[in-house]
Amino acid sequence: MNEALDPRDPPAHILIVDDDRQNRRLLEVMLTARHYRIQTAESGEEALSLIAMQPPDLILLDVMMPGMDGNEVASRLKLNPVTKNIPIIMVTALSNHDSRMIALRAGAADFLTKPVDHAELCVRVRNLLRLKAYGDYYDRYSQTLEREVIARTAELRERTTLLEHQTAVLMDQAELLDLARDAIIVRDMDRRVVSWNRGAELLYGWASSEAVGHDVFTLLNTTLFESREGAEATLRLEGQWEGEAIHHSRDGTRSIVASRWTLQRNGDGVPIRVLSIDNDITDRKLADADRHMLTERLSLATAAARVGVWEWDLASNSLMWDATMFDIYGLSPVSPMPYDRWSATVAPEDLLAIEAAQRHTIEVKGQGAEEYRIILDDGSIRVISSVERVVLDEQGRVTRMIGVNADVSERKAAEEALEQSGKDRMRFKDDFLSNVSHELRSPLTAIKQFTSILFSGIAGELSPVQREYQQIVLKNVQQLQSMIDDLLEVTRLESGKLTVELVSTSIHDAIGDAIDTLQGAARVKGVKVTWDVAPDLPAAWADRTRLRQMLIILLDNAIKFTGKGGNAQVRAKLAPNNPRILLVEVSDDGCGIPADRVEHLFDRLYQGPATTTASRKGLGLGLYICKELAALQGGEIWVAQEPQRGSTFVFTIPVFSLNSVIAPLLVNGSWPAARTSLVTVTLALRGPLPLQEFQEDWSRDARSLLERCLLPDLDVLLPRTHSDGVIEQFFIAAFADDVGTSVLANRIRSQFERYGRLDETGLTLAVEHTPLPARVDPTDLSTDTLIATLVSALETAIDSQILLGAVQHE
Amino acid sequence: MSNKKILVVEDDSDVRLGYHVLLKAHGYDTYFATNSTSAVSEARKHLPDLIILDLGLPAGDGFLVLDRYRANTFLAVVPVIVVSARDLHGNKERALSGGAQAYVQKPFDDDNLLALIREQLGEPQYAGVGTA
Repeated sequence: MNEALDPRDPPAHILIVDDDRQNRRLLEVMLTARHYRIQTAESGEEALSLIAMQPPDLILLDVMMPGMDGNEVASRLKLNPVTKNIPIIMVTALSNHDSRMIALRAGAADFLTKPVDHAELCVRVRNLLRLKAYGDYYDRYSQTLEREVIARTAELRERTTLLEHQTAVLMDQAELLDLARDAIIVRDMDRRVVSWNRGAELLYGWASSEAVGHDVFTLLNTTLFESREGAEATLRLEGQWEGEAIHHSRDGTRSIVASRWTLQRNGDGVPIRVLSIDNDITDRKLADADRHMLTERLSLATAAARVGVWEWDLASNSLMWDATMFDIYGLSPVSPMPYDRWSATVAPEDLLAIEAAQRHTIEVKGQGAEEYRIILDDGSIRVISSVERVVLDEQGRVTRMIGVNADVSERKAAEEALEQSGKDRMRFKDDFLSNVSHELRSPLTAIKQFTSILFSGIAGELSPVQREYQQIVLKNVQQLQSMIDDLLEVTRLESGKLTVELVSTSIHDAIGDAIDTLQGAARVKGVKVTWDVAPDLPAAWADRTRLRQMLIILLDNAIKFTGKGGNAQVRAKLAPNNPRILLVEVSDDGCGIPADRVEHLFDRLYQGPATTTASRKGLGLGLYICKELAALQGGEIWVAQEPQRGSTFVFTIPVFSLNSVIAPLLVNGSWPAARTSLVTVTLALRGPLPLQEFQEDWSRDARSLLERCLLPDLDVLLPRTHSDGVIEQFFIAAFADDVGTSVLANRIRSQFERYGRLDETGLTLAVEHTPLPARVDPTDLSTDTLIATLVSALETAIDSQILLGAVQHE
Repeated sequence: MSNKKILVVEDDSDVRLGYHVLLKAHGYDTYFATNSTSAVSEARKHLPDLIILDLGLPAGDGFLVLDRYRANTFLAVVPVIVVSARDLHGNKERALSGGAQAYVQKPFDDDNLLALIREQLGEPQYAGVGTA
């Protein structure tokens, strides 16, 4: 019978230690029957070495041995942790109490007394082996346990560390999740919220604790833009879904979100969770809606106005047109449209100009506007108004041009018709007036003729009464005549057909002339007319005829509105604060003009109050004409008066100055002022011409003839200066050298000889030329400087008296 | 010395009479034409010393008559005083460049006209006539 606990365990290993061989043998025999593995040792030392090699399960140890005795062996064994648990049965011959105590203390587990009883031996061995086995088992077990505990503890520690790490990561991620503005929601397959980040809290107004566990779609009252089943099907099939959804927050606000769902599966591929990320696009949606509406409105507006919008991509040379564009051009829509298709519709004569304008706009990176004609398929011509501008890319290069086109054919036609009707009306008015004047003047001629004839006595002597009556008729005829003249004058003024010829003119002469003309009328009325003109008054820059006309109108009024025995005076002087302006005053001591009428004095058809005499008022156009004439000559007119003390009419006329005359004639300042000559053309009369008017006519003819000799950009004919009735002089500033100037002089001579009717008019012609000494500063070639240089040169060359139009009194 | 001959081309009968009375009183023989055709034929017939031509002839061809005068060898040297009731811009220039010697606006001052006539005929002016 094997005493081992587990039949599978090997037989127990017993070591017998006795110095006596017989004893050893005896024990061995006794134990063999039990199938133990027996080992023997002769001495304590041998026992120790054998034990060191292989520790037995039991030691039978003799006490009395030479050398190391049993006790010592036992002590040693007990000190060694490896061997301290090996049971030792001390075999001793001694049976006294003390020796047993020693053995016990040495570590023996039991005793056996020699001679050893077989049955006792076996029982004790068996028991101790059994104990040992239990002990060993227990040891083994607790060792394993200990190892297990250590391992488990280590494992646990590892797991904890990992867990901590993962938790940290999770915390980070959770923080990030919360940082995210987007609403990140995790839901399970029953749509219940598992995770709800800060973004979701903010967006939907539910705290995480409130949201978790609830059906997310119910919580948010969600509407998708497609069916939810469809979305979820997509999710299941593809693992994700993207779309837009409308959610409602806790407080009911609607949010439009761009939502993305991702499906999470476990290790077996079973869907367990859905991660959804919502991005709030409500604002963008609103802006989009706004923009959409604006675009719609714009389209509607442009379509209603028939304004087409186009875009030209320069790189591909293609056009993008809206529907209105195709409509305007009558082309079938194609997108994009090649540029050539458009240019083919433009009228060939306009195309070059348009393309040049476009090129220019691109070059200056600006905008442009043009009008051009297009020819539709049916051959009709439409007028297009185009406005466009360039579009720059980020580098500031022109990549596109955008613009609008409008069909303005109707408007253009209307404009042209209007212009035409305006012209027609003007012509009609002209013709009408001319007809009217003709019709009015013819009977007037006859009346005047016969009145004159009667008055002159050709048809017989008149009685004083008859004379008187004829005078009345004649005066009325004259009045009628002047009224018609005024009417026509005003018409001319209004239609802008009245032109003035500004020349250097003597105020003194004009005034004297006017007074002469009205002398008779003044005498008849008993009004005394005086005049006062400063002696060295410079020449005026005015139209001679018009100046005279103004003076006559004003003086005539003065005489008309002054009572018998009254006074009228004409004065001329330099303006006190401006030496470039002349003041002319016509005053009377008549009834004056009431203050409330002054404002409308110069309006058309102003009628004065009832005059002191029965004389008629005329058409009331005189002052209006004066105002217009004053303006045409660069002056003004006004009335200065003291009521009850008569009226003074004042008008201004510019003083003649060569500077202001030259400046407008010189268009640009790039002429060679260094080579300027003065050409003097002198026409001397052999005798005085009978009529001032005739002389003026002839002077004008001579002037136009001269002008025909000149080269427009190089020669300047100075305006007419004062002539003394015998000699007429013209001055030409010729921008040419000596040779050029003599060519000009010859040309003038030959022209006058051929066309000037010199023999008929009794004029002699002399043409001279001299170079002008002009110092030109090459560093200052501005227009002003050149003008000043030219003027000073001319002033030097031309007799200053003549140039400034100094008056020679008769 | 025979009187100088003046041809007056004028379509208005009253005005014609007025011319006649005035001119006759001043010692001129007067002849008349009332339209453009007779203007030329009468001129050629009488070869006047002066022609007074009203531009306002019927059919408005006063300038045409002027041209025809200038084109005619004998009539070209005859001085022409053009008279016009119309006030159209450029009429005067056109008349003068068309060969007329003088241009007078209707209704005219008879003293003025007489002075013009005398001048054109090379006759001395009376003292006191004409402006200074």
